[in-house]
Amino acid sequence: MPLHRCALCHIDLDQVSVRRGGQLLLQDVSMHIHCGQLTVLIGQNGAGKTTLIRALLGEIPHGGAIRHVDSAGRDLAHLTTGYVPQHLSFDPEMPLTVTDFLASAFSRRPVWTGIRKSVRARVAEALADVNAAGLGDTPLGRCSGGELQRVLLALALHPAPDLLVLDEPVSGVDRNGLKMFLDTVTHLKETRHMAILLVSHDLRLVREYADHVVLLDKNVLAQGQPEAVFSSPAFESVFGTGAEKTVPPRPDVLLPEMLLTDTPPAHGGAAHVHTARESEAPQPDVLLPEAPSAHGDAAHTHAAREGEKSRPAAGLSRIARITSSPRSKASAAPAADPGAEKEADR
Amino acid sequence: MENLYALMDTLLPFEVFRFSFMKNAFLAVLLLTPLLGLLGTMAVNHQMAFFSDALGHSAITGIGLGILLGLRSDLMAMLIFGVVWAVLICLIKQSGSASTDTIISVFSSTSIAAGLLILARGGKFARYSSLLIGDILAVTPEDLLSLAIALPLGVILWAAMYNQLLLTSVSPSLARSRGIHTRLVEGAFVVLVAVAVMLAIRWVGVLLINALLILPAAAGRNLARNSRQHAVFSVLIALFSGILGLILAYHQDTSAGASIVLVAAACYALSLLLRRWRK
Ligand SMILES: Nc1ncnc2c1ncn2[C@@H]1O[C@H](COP(=O)(O)OP(=O)(O)OP(=O)(O)O)[C@@H](O)[C@H]1O
Ligand SMILES: [Mg+2]
Repeated sequence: MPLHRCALCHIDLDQVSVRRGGQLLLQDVSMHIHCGQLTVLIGQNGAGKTTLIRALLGEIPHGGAIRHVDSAGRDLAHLTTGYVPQHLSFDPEMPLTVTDFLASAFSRRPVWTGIRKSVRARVAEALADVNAAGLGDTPLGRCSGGELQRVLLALALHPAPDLLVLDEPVSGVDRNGLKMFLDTVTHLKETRHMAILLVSHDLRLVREYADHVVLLDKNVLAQGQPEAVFSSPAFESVFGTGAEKTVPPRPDVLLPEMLLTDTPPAHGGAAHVHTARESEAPQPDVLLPEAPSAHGDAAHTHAAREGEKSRPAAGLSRIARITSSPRSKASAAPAADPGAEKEADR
Repeated sequence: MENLYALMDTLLPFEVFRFSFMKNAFLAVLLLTPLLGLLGTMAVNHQMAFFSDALGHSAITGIGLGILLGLRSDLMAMLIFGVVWAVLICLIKQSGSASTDTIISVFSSTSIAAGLLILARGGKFARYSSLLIGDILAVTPEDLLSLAIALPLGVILWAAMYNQLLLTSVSPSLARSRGIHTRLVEGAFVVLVAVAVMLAIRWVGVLLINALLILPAAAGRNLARNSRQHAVFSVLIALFSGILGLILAYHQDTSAGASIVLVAAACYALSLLLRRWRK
């Protein structure tokens, strides 16, 4: 798997620190987020992951420098960021469909006056790209956690971002749903020109999907390839002794077992995944929960519903969808030739 | 104005509209309720019902301060004070220092107390009691002119900020990441609501103005499935309540504001039933 598809640019965080209310929340965080890579932030609740993202988005003041640079370290102009927030705080009774929501971001025409056909088409395409094609008329407040996550991803991908930031898009989503989401994200990584920063608590999936892992606790405790970080002493001190062993290595190392535990039957997938995980991780306090109840919100309340509805097979059709969108079609055909792909991405 | 009256006589040859004060009131309702209905949709979605209530109360202080400062026009005093008050609440809310409900409650009671203190000096509050109840039959042609200017301006502003406000109400953080100045947008919205409320308050009264803003939007929300339906239902219900309430008040010889609000409340009850029934 080619990691540095675009070795052209990265986002360079240099000694970023954040102080709020007299408290030091982040201290000298230095890291690179490379284009074409999935960089995953891990760390306990309150480690400062969301805070770092807010600094990155320019939402809160910070010390140090955040720059978008090319391979030679020259500043690139504007950085377009797509953002999927950790949670939303809206009234779920609001009469607002997914289409209304996306159209209000895609177009200047106030959505209460109606939505133009061309905008409707763009919304439908954006939803299809993230395997959420049927959601257009669903009220936003009735979307399950996993559905909401895909809708937000669709929004974050328009306009095409240089940097995609996904803050723990796992709350209220079972492992199966998260896997589907990560498959989509991985596909984006490989077909589009962007850097991706993800916050996740699901260490097993992090190990499977991440290219670069950053362990954060106010400052960077460890960073590098997943294997290196997971076997570092810092990792052990944060997640407890032996935590590393409860997180199985990448599937290419341990393929048969992973297939057994991670492929749930078509019905009742959620329950199966949970039993599998419990039997596998005898120390529940060691493995971080996938859906910390502290940030449930709308997404969390739908966790059960999402479990019922998760469709394991849908992941494949999504990939097919993504490759058939016009933009990625251009880049998917000559996929064997990285040079040609770069051309297509422009 | 005469031409307009003549036109109304031909279009609406009803006994109710024989008098020009009823014609004026009718026109005021036509101009005012759609704007309040539109703004109400977001006030309801943004969970600001309590905020607009407090805003209405601040009119009392506005007039009181106007008298103290020797301002000639009550409307001017209310407008200026209402806008300042709204922006202040908004700023404190955005600084995130305490829960919104509490802040608004503090502002609301402070403004009522301050207003009463000034207006009730020398036991003369009775003179201002019309402020509490409002009098829609006192609309003058000049008022109508200012309303006719305010309505299109308000709708244009509203249209310009709506999408950004919608994104902000779903997630301020997400909206900011998309380059929206959320504070500015929220500020513009509360100013718009403040102006609309102050324009309407002399006719509907401090006690009932909030109902006119919130009830049609709340009823519309029970029926709507998307943003467009919400706006349409809300405006239609506001217009319907306004007109029917006015006519009922004429026949029953009672307060127009109160009967308009009662009609709107009936609409709300009906919408609740419809919603139950549809599920
Ligand atoms: N505005 C603020 N003022 C003061 N402290 C804050 C502020 N926002 C967050 N904090 C604190 O900063 C710390 C880091 O919070 P942050 O939300 O970044 O954690 P996180 O790593 O995202 O945690 P989680 O995994 O629970 O999402 C927490 O202790 C939190 O209480
Ligand atoms: Mg967080």
